[in-house]
Amino acid sequence: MSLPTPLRHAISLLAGIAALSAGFAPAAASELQVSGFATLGAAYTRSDELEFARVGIDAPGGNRVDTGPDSVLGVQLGWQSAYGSSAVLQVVTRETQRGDYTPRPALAFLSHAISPALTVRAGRLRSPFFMLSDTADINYSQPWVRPPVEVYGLNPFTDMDGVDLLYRSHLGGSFIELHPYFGTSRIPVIGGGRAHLRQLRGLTATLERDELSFSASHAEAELSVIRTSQSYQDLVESLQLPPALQARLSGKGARASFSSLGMQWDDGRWRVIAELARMRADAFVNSATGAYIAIGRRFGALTPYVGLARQRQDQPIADPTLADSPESATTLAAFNRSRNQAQRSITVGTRWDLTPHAAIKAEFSHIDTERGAHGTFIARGDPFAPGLDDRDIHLLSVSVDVVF
Amino acid sequence: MSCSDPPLFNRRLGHALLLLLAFSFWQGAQAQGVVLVSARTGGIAELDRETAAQLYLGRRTSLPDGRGARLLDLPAGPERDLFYQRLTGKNPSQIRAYWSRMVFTGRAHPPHEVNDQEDALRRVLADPSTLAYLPAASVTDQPLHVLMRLE
Repeated sequence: MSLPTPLRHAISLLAGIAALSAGFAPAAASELQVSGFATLGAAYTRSDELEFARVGIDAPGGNRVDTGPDSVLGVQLGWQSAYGSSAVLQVVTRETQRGDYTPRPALAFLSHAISPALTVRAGRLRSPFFMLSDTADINYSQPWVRPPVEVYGLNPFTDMDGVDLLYRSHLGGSFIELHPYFGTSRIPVIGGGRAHLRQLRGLTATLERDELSFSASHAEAELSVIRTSQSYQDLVESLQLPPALQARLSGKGARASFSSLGMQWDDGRWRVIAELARMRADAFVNSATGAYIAIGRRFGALTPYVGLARQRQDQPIADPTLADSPESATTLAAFNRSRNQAQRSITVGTRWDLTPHAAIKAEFSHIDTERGAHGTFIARGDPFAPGLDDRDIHLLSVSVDVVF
Repeated sequence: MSCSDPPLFNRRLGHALLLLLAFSFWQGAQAQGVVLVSARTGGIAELDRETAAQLYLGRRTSLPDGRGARLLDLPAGPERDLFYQRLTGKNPSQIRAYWSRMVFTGRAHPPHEVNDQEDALRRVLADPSTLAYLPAASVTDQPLHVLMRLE
């Protein structure tokens, strides 16, 4: 009776597809398409104390060569009627925050074109908080191995359950898309627990003209983060934190917002992608700003690129000066460090288009985590140990991306 | 190796001729261009370039009169590359990246890829709401509307 929510969604959608297919019967009037995408990736960090992770997306590796952060497989069923209705089911498997590979529907929606310009969609949708959020798994469509973690690490909520509208219009040679959405989103927390966005509402606007495109986006939601990991329980018990401070670390009802401004230039030869994004929250997680610029140049099948990125913390999770003992303050500062992804990086790499459906990429990043931050790294041992911040770390990544 | 070695010389010449032949075919596709077509009987009688580009970029699914349009793609090759380059200004790698974003964000369904040109022609003639592009030279004697020529 109590099937997991994603499974229930998948089943109801499949039932919907079956019912609709039967209703519109003639094969000429509707069409089922199967497609997919996959990345096999490996990331290598030479550090005995820290391991790379896309915080909130995958689990820390455990091995020095980690296939978890980037490897992903997605299979999509798309069905389209001749009457403006369509359904999409996309099931994605990748390493989860819990370290398993449980498949998850990343898209499971019914859509209907109300008019040539306006489409309404309902179901499981990708969350479009930042410019490339909704293509974060589609590595084939981008020059790099993975979207810059300095920005995309600000948003671990990759999908949402709800409703959206796509309004598309043309204005003097420009293409405009307005994309309002409303829903909820839920993800597990590394180590144990879960995070929720409720009453999520946002708007993304995109303008494309010839080689240039701009996007602007803002979303607000009510955030809850319930931490149940052993290290968190130990922290709370050992510190005997005052309730007010505990309520800053784990609980419900914080206000959160996500904003971004981005641009892309692609003239067929040069490709430039740049974005500035901000995540703010009253409690439970830190508030931070991230930005990146990446420039690539196509030479036939080769596209070498270089990227600069930075994330800065605006507000830590909890103010250590509120603790009632020096020991508590020290541990709270350690907790803040382990949840602070502030870092800067320079990445050089290349993409090689092997066939029309496959690309190989290799990139090298020099990452400089900030003082008071572990960056996008997770401690191999005690997460609250001192001296894991302010490091120079090299990260080597290779991947093969295919679409089919 | 020397020029007095006839088999090798001939093989090289053969390769060169083959290359030249392939190049001239490719040039042929470039020179004659491709045409966007629909069935002459009951088919789409006219289509402006902007609407065609929007349709083949998945930014609209219907014609200005509200009718739905079904789009066909030729298999990967010089005709397809030429068509997208001229209609949308995007090269093959841009188009592949673009369509992978459109499909896997669930924004649009890609044009149906036909087996070959005969398949495209057969489908266009069978369904008046279908659009396809074909090499200009291949459509001269067919009952088709030529909606636009891309060279």
